[in-house]
Amino acid sequence: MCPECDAELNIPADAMENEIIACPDCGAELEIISLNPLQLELAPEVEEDWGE
Amino acid sequence: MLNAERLIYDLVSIASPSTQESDAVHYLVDWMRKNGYDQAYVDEAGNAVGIIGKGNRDIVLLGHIDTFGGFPPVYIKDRTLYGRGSVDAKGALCTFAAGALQADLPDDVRVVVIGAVEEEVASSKGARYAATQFQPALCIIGEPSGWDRITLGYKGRLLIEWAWRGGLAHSAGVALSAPEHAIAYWEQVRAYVNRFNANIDSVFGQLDATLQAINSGQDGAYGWCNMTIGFRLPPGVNPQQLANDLANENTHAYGCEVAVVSDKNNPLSRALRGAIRAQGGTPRFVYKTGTADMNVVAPIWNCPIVAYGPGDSALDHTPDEHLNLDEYLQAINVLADTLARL
Repeated sequence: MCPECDAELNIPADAMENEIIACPDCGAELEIISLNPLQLELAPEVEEDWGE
Repeated sequence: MLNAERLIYDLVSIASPSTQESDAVHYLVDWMRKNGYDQAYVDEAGNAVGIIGKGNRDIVLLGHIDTFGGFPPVYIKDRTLYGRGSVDAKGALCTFAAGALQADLPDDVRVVVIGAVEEEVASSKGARYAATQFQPALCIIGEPSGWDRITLGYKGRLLIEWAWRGGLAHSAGVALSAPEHAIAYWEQVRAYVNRFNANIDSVFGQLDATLQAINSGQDGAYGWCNMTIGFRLPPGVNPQQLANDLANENTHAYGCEVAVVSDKNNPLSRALRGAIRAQGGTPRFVYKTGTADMNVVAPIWNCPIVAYGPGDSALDHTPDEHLNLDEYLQAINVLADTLARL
């Protein structure tokens, strides 16, 4: 289930831990924290910062 | 003091402004030799290079050993190391040197740690030479992002030198003085930048121009004025095209670097996020408005690439530059775990 919109998700068979996938319903980017058991979290947003 | 803490304290204690890195380079190479690297040497560009492992898959950890100018006092207070380069970027370089040693490397991996010279100047001599010596499968650039944050992109860069020299006229007349010619060109640049940025809110997406230096004077019957203008380029802006758009008979453009943006789902990003979480952190991503050696090597190596290192890049180039040693040790653990996952 998408943690953002509760949509049912089909995880690809070749998915990897820490891979980022998109929810087909709401478009949220989700990180696969664990495959067994399946655990998903919202992927980090990209921040902007000064510097090298 | 832990070995890794001694390494960064000693390396920060050795002044190494750009083009004067030799003492620091030799210290790091000696440290690598004494601590079990399979190879450690100074290459033809003057970079410190250390290699661990004999696999056929190279992971290059490219830090820089030169620093911005100035040499404020080096000391440790409340587990925080103060001194030039502690953040930018000997913290990241020492994280690489110590983390590669600590890592349980996959058999097919060879890790190459590079302390490159001249990153803080437009030449990027060390990175440009390293780019000809290796063809890594993966590359991490050593720059401060915080122990729990991964840098995915850097803006590009362009520098324009503007110079004007002409006959003097009486200041009561209508002819423009040399500084007035300079200001007119600067206003032209500002108008160009404002037009570009009109509908762009993202800082990373904007074109930035900074008047870095302006000097003027008189030489007999002639007046002169020189300016240096620095540009930070968002993705999609070609530095040569920008130089052409702003070119006239008084300009000279150099220091061209295109912006670089990495895939947030690449193997390095995945491994780093897993390692940060394993250390109890919540990983974050960042785009930086500066440039780094990532801009130099990414278009050449064309491999998955990110930047990583402990510390707050807001302290780059400041007299108060400092790095928390506990964050540094945490970054070493993250880096070692990351390498084991690749």
